[in-house]
Amino acid sequence: MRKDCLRFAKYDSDTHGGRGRIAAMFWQQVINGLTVGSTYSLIAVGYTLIFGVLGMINMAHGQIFIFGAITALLTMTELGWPLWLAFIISVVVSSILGWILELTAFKPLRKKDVPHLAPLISTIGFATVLDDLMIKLFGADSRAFPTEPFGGRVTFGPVQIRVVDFVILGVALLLMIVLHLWIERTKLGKAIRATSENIDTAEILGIPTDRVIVFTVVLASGLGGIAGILLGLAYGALMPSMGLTLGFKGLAVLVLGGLGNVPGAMLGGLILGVVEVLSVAYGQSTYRDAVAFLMIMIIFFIRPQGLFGSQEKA
Amino acid sequence: MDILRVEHVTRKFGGLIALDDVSFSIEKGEIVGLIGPNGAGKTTLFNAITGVFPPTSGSIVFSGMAIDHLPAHRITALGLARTFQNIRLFKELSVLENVMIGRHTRTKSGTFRGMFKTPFERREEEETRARAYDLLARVGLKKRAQDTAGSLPYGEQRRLEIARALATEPKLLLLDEPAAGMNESETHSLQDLLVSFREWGLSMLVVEHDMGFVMSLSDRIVCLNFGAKIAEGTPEEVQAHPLVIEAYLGREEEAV
Amino acid sequence: MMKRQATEKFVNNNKTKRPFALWAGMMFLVFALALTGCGGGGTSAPANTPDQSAGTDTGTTQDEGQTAGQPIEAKIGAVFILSGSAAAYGEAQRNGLELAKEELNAANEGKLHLSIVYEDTGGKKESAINAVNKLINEDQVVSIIGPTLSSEMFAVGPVANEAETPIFGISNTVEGINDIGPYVFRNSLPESIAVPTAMKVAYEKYHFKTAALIYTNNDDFSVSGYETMKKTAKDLGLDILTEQSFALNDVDFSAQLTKIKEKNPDVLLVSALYKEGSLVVKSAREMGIDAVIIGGNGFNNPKVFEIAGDTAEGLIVATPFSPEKQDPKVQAFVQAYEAKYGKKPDQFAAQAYDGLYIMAESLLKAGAADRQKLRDALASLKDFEGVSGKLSFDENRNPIGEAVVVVAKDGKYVPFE
Ligand SMILES: Nc1ncnc2c1ncn2[C@@H]1O[C@H](COP(=O)(O)OP(=O)(O)OP(=O)(O)O)[C@@H](O)[C@H]1O
Ligand SMILES: [Mg+2]
Repeated sequence: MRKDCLRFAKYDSDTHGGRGRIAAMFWQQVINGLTVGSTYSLIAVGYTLIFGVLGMINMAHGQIFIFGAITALLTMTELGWPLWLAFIISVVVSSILGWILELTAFKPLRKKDVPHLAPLISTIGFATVLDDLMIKLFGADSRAFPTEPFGGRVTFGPVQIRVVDFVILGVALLLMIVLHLWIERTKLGKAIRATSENIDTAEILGIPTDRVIVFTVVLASGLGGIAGILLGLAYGALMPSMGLTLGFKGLAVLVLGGLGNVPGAMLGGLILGVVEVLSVAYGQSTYRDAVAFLMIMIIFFIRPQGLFGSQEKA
Repeated sequence: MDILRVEHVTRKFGGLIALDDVSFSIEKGEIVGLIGPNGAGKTTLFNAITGVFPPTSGSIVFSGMAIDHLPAHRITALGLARTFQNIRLFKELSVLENVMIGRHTRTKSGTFRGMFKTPFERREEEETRARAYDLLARVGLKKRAQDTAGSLPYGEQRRLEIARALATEPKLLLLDEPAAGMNESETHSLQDLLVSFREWGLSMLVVEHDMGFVMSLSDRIVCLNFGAKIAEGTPEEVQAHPLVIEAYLGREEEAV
Repeated sequence: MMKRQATEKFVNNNKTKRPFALWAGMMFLVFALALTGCGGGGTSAPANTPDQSAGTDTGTTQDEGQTAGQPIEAKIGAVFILSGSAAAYGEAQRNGLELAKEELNAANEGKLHLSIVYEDTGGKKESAINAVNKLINEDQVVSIIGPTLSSEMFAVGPVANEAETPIFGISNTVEGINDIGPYVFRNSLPESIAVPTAMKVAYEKYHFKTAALIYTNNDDFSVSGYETMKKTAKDLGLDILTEQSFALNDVDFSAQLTKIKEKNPDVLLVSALYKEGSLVVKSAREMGIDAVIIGGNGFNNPKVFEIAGDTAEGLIVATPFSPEKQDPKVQAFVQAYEAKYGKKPDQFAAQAYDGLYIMAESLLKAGAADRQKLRDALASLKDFEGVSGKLSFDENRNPIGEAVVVVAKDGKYVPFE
């Protein structure tokens, strides 16, 4: 039975010229990179929004979104709920966790006479608690994420793309465009930008910055919830440890894109994804993370403010 | 009726007494000048009134309501606006957006309703935009509306800050050294601009080191030194006040 | 006075965030280097001791002389991964051990009484070393079963050997485990036997000509399996089109698999633990790679079907144990296991089960819970009939046994034919 499979759909390599095949492979890899990168972008936007309004890195972001996503995954596998509902569950759970984080880790330390980095430590504490809770509730093991609704591939000439990659890329890009327009155009979006630039001035101009912060933390976490589901779709499985490892990718992008710069985070994520994948494709997979981080270091030598950060903000 | 009453306000920073039992008031429609040597506590007084650093003791009454210890954004919503000695624009936002943000408290779409663009929000946004353009026209910056605020020359940044403050629809405007860094003709047109705001019945409290400017602009002058009020009266009275002369001369000699 | 004002203003003009930005950048790089430096290995689960009650029911030490009438009291240490992303292996091993302990204690009533002290490594070498030291010095165990991973064995084998305490691997399949020293044993077939068996049997059927390899490059077990696969592929005269690798905890394999797909091999050889391995198989199939896939020992876990689902169909592996084997001994074990745990045993449970049986047989032969006597008894093991096949040790204490080749079908492994 595997035998027919073996010879099945074997595309004839002779019909494409050598150069055509190399180009096709390149584009295939670029698309792989963009798919991975779009999930990095969404994660990074979460860090970036919070960094913007609070000037602080939320070290619990990774744990928050993976917690939301695994909860949603369980509603799918245990209760048989559909994927669209899983998106909502993930967003809701992540948002609530974000809100609790704001209440417990950020707010009590705001405007108090504590060291500048105190909230960083309190978010690490929050992350540890979530990690332990996840191990207790879900176990540390990886759980399969059903990708059946998006099985199959689409062919564009020599390039084949998994349908699920299309979905991921589509959802992530759409979300980022909507988010970008929302931040640029709406009143609350302007309030977030104003608070990011200078919280005291924003407050004096009548913006209720405390509420803006709560909203931003919840928004960032909710976006993480969507990213978590997309990660599940992309990799076919979720596990608690992904919060930490992918969180680091998001952090890298936060810095790469220019601290607190939302479009920078979006583009930075895509760039990191493509660079990573190309470094595996045309270099040594052993050095995947090293290459990515080396690139970030080089960028900092050339542009200390990050790729898209402006001089004054950095 | 007085619009602002500052009563026995004291503000300490650790052991330093930056404001020492200061009392004065501003009548509706009045322009009051606030002078004093460097470090006298003028900016600290602004910060106390606008809720940045609430007074350690004493009270501040605005339009008949005690505002000390209200959060800053609530005070703004009540009709009190200010500019900053060190210009504090949102440099990465456009000139227009800076002014539009000033209208945050004056638009109905609440923090959360502002998330969506219903027809109501759309209309309100258009209105906000139109009012912002009006204000920019008023301070002579309409042409720069789409530029980023950080790209404006210094004098224009000062005027943009005034427009942004006006966008909050204040009853009382606090200006911290609005003419600083301006040349003579710029200072002149600024003076004309500020005087023109009287037509709205706007009250102002102006900190300024340019004596010619502040004396000709103000109805009354309050002078601080070492955090305490040392004189109050018409420009003529204050200029002739021996303590004021001593405060300034003493400082000049020190500085030489 | 006015001028002075103006300059002052410029000086303290901007409330700048630069120092923090720099700090954040630096901190991040430090983290990044730490992360890449250690290859992203391990999870952060704390090392705890889930089932210590089993070890506290006896105060006897192994040095007490045994008189004929008294049963031998043997306290044995077990060092498994019971938390973290590879916990499914350790869980199966503990189940197998517990079942064997109950059976053995019942069967040898009055002659031998076994108790087991469990230690969790979370898959980390440091935790494994701590666990082994504790077992040897504090708990005074007569021998140790485990650890789960070969890389852990390379870390703790020398420790046990130095302390002259027999350590018995039940899932270490890497070449060279026995070379650690005379106190190191294992009943797990080295991959150098199992993997070639699978490849040869599959070759007989498909006569593939080209191969591609993919493996975890920072895990001893996976690297050793990869080397065996590569060697066997050469022996079979296969053309190796490409070799790809990834790191533990990686979740994205698209770049590697795209390259493999482009080469279009007849057979894809995967050497990895189940966590990464199942994802590789799943992504490979989703991307349209239609080669026959042969996996190493890491795939001998039901988790593979949970994660890879339908895409596991057709996956070929060699295993010393198949619950489908029509052998009364095997079926009795499968039934007892299913009754106790509600699921079928896998290779890890079976080898743990056999491991304790071997331990018991050797203890009875040694006649006392004595580390030295036990070692000698273990070394002379011959033709042991276990659920995972017949087992003897060669002069280097390497297990001699045979592997069964199985293929994934409808969510389980069935004998390959
Ligand atoms: N946040 C603060 N913390 C500590 N001390 C402060 C703070 N703000 C102001 N001060 C001190 O209070 C005193 C008054 O300062 P303030 O800025 O109010 O003076 P000023 O009258 O505005 O001076 P200038 O004309 O130079 O602007 C100064 O000694 C200053 O150092
Ligand atoms: Mg001042």
